[in-house]
This record gives sequence, structure tokens and C-alpha cells, in this order.
Amino acid sequence: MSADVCFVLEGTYPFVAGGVSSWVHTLIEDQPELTFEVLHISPEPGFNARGPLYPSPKNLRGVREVFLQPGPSETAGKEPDPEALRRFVGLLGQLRAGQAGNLAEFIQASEELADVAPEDLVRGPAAWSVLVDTYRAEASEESFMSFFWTWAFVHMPFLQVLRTEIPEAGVYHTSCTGYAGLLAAVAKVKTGRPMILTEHGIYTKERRIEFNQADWIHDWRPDGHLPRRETPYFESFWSRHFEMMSRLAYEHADLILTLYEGNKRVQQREGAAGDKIDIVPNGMQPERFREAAAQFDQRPENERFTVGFVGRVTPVKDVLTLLRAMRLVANELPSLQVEILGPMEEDEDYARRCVDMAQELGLDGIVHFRGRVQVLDALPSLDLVVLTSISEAQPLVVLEAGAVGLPVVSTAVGSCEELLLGRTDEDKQLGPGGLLTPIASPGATADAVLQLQRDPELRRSMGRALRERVRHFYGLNDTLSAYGSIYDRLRRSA
Amino acid sequence: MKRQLAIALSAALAIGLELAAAAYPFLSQSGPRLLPALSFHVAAVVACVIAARLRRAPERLLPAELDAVLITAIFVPLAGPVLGWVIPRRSNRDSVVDAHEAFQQREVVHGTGGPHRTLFTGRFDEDLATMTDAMTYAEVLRDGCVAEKRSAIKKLCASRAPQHLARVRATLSDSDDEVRLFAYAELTRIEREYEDALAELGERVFGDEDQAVVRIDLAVKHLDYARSGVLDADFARFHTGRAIERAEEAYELGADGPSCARAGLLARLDMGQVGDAEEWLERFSEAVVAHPTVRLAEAELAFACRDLERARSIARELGSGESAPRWLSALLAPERPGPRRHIRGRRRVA
Repeated sequence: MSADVCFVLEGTYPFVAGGVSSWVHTLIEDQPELTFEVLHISPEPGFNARGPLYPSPKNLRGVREVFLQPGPSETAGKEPDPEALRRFVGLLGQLRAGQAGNLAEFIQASEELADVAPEDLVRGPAAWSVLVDTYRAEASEESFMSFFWTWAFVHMPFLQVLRTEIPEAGVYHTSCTGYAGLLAAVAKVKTGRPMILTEHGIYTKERRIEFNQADWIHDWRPDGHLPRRETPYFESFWSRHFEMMSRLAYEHADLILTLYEGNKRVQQREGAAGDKIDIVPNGMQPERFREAAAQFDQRPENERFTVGFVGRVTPVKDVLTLLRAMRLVANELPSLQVEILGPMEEDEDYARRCVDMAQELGLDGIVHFRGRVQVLDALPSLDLVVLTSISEAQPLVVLEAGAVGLPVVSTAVGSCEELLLGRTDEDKQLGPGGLLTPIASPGATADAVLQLQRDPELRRSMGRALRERVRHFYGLNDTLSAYGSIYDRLRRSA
Repeated sequence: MKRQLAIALSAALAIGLELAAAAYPFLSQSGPRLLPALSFHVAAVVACVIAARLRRAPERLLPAELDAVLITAIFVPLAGPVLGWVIPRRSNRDSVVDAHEAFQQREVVHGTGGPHRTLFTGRFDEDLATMTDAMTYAEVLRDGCVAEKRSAIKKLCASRAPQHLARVRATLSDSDDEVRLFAYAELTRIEREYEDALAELGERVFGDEDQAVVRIDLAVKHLDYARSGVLDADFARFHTGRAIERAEEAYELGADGPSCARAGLLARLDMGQVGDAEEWLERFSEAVVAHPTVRLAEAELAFACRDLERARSIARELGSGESAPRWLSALLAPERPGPRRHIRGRRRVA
């Protein structure tokens, strides 16, 4: 029997902890009336050897992994039919040119070549002439060697996704536009069932930044005197590939959801139709935090002003900036106490750097790395929550801090401005729930912390405003009922 | 009556022209000044001769007496223009405006940095290129598309010049998060190099090496990091403070070398402790203070205090060797472009 909802995910639940994983886990766990299945895309077998990080809810039928690089195929060496190959490559060209409507034809063409191994299809003898022709047509000034390997590395995983066996489900729900978005679109084409795309961060944008930073993308052109307007060919090749997958996901999604206004605008710029996009903010259960809030309200003033950071110790959270800011605060407030509450195993190298940096900055006895903790137990003892992330969608920690009544100092990323200052006029009337700072600015963060430390009344009023905001506008029940009705409507309409 | 009026007018014209000839070199701050002054003087002499003839003076004087009057009329007033020429002229280089501009350029870098100036060399084509590049980068970072901004950020970071990195830091508040994240990644890459170097040096504190040397290396690295332009002003001050502490420790451990003196001096200067900086230097031996790197730091101190004369004298002393950086050599540049030179140069290019 098929699941009601199949989550199509990439590099997240249940193998990686984080905001998206928590969101998926909550949607599954808190909708027991629905059954779920997870189709998870991983780079290669053995990549998630640690196994799932979340307990499996009863209504989760199973987790199936799809590998982008599964290893040598059993059918390797088999020659493809030249006519089928020509059609396949022609359609691939159309897809690359932005004709998303051809996905169905393309899947059919790829199925006609189902007995040919993906590596032969992409870089085998039969594909050679196609590859050379494409090189001559669009990249004759570039290195052929680089073109060959870029072509192969770009298209192999793409074909692997196209060939994935799709489990039956009532609705396919994906959390990004990359390979997972493509797979969800393929699932929709193959099964005819509806597809939902909920983007937390903008996947294509994140990839573009990654490619621009990558030192493995070859660019032979000499560095000129002035800024360049055009993107180097191979970087552009990779970017266009992910933009193509993004277009396919946007085109085939019946509904595109996101967490806040800013993301909606970016999605539209990336090619999503505005009338398909809806905003469903993440919610949380304030009642779960009622006891913690009461503890916070009743506890005596801390002898040492205590700042908390709640989140994974990873580069995107920019914990190094937090530590630098805390050094500046401690210069003014030697009794400062800083609690780093979050797992440190996701990027062990970075976590080690953070510990070393704390030591180098002379923060021994001030900063405490506590690892993964029960947030409910930890939050009431804090005076303030600080978030120094360089990128966020809608950070759960701001909602959790708000539920307890803690004000937040946060970088102005993602929906943090909406969360702290309000989204609608009614929301804004509640007042600010904290202070915003620019990214990578220890001085500004330290100033904001000191401002709130020196003004307890301001701190309390911001905490109250954030608590009201969370209670009124970010309830989990609202989120769940929104998704419940979306699932219901789409399952019925299909 | 008419004759009397003509004589009076000629005499007044001669006196006026002579005054103009004398004053011209003082009024004009640039360009060749002697020729116009002489022209005024010659006109004044002609006016004198006309006035003398109208008085029929030649008929009443002996030829020798007339010669004496004419020679006196020609040469004695010449003293004014010549004196004006001999007095050194005030160029843009020395003017108050120039010092202010130089100081502002230092401030632009960031609150604590050294005098990293936009280097106008006085050579028009080179200066125009510098200005055009700076304007292009500033415009691109303000109004460019994402690809252009990323390219500009990459190039500015590759230069490692503090004033360029400060520009990149400003893009951390760009409206597009793709640009923000890219700038962040590039700056973090540079930060990491400094952090790693400091961590490596930090480990040497526990080794068997000469600890004074280790402390000096640490002071220098903290100072370099603080001045790199990669940090925000507050945290740059933190590292500057660390540089002072390490330099102090090195001194306590017996260090009496130029690196220690320089690091301590510049760190204090960057913290705005000018008096302390002077006192710090007094602790070192004459040989150390006379070392070119320390003299250079002293020039920076003088520059920051707007004591351009002192900075210039150090620049002269250091000469144009490698030890004198461009910003200091620029103080001694023979010609700096005043407004007139700009106009002339622009015409030439057109």
C-alpha cells in the first residue's frame, strides 16, 4: 500500500541534523493520521554510515536511499542504439536551453536506453561524437579535457536520478530544487501524482556561491584589470545545470511553498510562477514551552549575565564571530557567561577551530561548549539568545527563544527581520523582539548584547513582544493544519 | 591741463603695473611666475618713459642723468618679482588642504590602519588610471550585477590591500545575500590564514625557543591582522591590543630589536595612544630607533599627527630605497597635480 506522502530529500532527514530535518520530523510525527515515506538522495553508498539521527515515527513507512554515484553498472560496455542516443541528446540540449516541458519526453528517451549504463551514455564511445560536437559548438576555446570531465560529472548523477525507481505515493513533497527537486518532478511525470516544493533556503543560489568559491572548477582566462561581467565557462556550465533542475522543479510543482516574503521574491527571480507560491511559516508549539516560560519568569536574576547560542557548531552559524563578539562583551562585562548549545560533530574541524579560538581569545571559564542539549531545559536559565548565522531561512531557535520570553540578537538574514520586527502591520504593533546586526560583525553584535544587558527593562519588553509574536503568528497547529489541508486538497484533486 | 592729467595717469599706471609685477609671484601658487611679472614690469617702465617724455624731462636733463633715471626705473623695481621668485612657493603638497586630504585618506582605510593612501603620484596618466580603477570598483560594488560584484570582490581580496578589503567588508551588508555570502567566504579565507598563523605561533609559546622572539612574532602577526582590513574596527582593536601586550612581554624578556620597537609603536599609534607611542620608543637604544623600519614607523606616527614636515624629513632620510613605501615617497614627489595640471592633462588626453 502506498504512503500518503513521499518526502523526496537530499542531504538531510533523517541522516543530518538541522532545521530542515526538524521540520520534516515534526511534519511526520505530528500528523499521525497520514503515512509517510522518505526517498533520500545521497552521494554514494556508505555516505550515511552513522545511520538515522532521528527516531523513526510510527507512521513513517520507510527510508530509501538513492545514490548519485552508485559505482560501476552491471550493463557497462553495452552500445546504445544510435537513433535513441541522438534523440536523447537532442532532448537533453532542449532541457539545457530551458524547455522544461520536455521532461516527459526526455524520461521516455532515457527509458529507451535503460539497458545502457549511465557512464556509457555520458562518456562512452557512442556518446563521443555528441560530446565533441557540443564542445565545438559551445566551448571550443576551453580545455577539452576539462570539458570532458565536467560533462561527465554533471550528467552522470542527472541520469542516475532519472532512472530511479519511484515508490507510489499520494503526494510527492520535496524540500529543495536540486537533485531532490528533479526527482520529485520525475516522480510527478512518471506517476501523475501531485508535487509540492517547500524551499527553506534557495538551493540554486547556494550552489552558485559554492561554484564561484570552488577551486576545482578550471578557468584558464588571465585575470584582467577590472571586474568581469561574464562568468567563467565551466562555472557557468555547472550553474546552468542546477538552474535547469530548478526550472524543472518549479515548472512541475503544483504548489511552491516558502517560509517568508524575501524567499518568495528570490524564487520568482529564479523562474517560479508567482501564483504558485504560498508562504507557510514554520511553527512551534508554545504550550510545549509553557513550563520553561514559567521557569524563566519566576527565576531570580542570574548572578552572571548569560548569553546562549543554540544551533549546530558549523560554519554557516559563524560561531567564530559569536566568540569574537563575546570577547568584546567580556572586556566590558568580565562576569559574562556564554552557553554554546548544539551538536559539534557535523563539522568536527570547524568545531575544533571554535574551541581553539575560545581558548586563544582567553574565554576559558566564560564560554562553555555543552554539545547537544534539551533546549527546553537550557533556555530558561539564559538572559539572551544570540544568533550570528551568515545564512538562515527561518531559524527555529528564534521561535523557541520567543516562546520562553527571551529576546534575541540576530544577524539580519533570512526571515530574522520578520521574526524580530514583525511581518504584517498587526504583527509589527507588538514591537521588536530583539536587535538585528550585520553578518560577520563582532563589534555590532557585542554592542547589541551590551545594550540589552545594560537595559533590563528593554530586554524584558523585547522578550514579551517576541513571546506574543510566536504565540499569535507562529503556532505549530497553524503550520500543520496548512500542510494537512494542502496534502488533502492535492491528494483529492489528483 | 590735459598734459598734467596724461602725466598723472601714466605715472599711476606705471606704479600700478609695478605693484602687480611685485605681487604676482606671491599671488600665484603654481605655474611659471617670472614671465608674467616681468611683463608687468616692462609695461610699467614704458609707462614711466611716457610720463617722463610728457614732462619733457629729457630736455632738462643731461644724457647721463637720463640714463641713470631709466636704469633705476628698469632695474630697481625688478627686485620685487625677483624676490617673489626666490621665496619658496607653497605647492599643493604642502598646503593645509593637502594635509587634510592625506589624513582623510588614512581615516578612510579604517579607524586603526596605517596611512594607506590612494596614491597620487603626480604623473597624470598613472593617476588617472588609479582613479578610474578605484571609481570602477566602487561603482561595481554599488551598482554592478551579481557576477560583476563577485568578480570585483575576488580581485580586491586577491590584492590583500587593507583599503580594498575594507571595501569588501562593506559588501557584507549588500542587499543580495549571494554577494554577502561571497564576500564573507572570501574574507573568511584571508582571516583563516591569519588565525592559523597565530595558532601556530601560539604553540611556540610552550616550546624551547627564545620566548622574546616568539612574543615579537606574535606582536607583529597580531598587528598585521589588525591592519589587514579584514576585521571589523572593534575586533581589529582587540588584535591591536594583543600586539601591544605581546610587544610589552617581548620587551620584558629583553627584546631590544627594531621589530619589537616597531610593533609596539604602531600598535599604540593605532590605538590612538600617541603619547604612549613616543614614550615606548624612548625605551629603546639609539641604534634601534635609527633602524629604517623604526624610522618608517616613526614617519607613520608623524603622519598621523599631521606633522608632515617630520614625516617628510624621515622620508628624505630614508631615500627612495625599498624601505620607503609609496605613501611616504609620495610626500616627496616633485610634482603633484594641482587643478591647473589636471585641466592641462585632460586636454592633452582629449
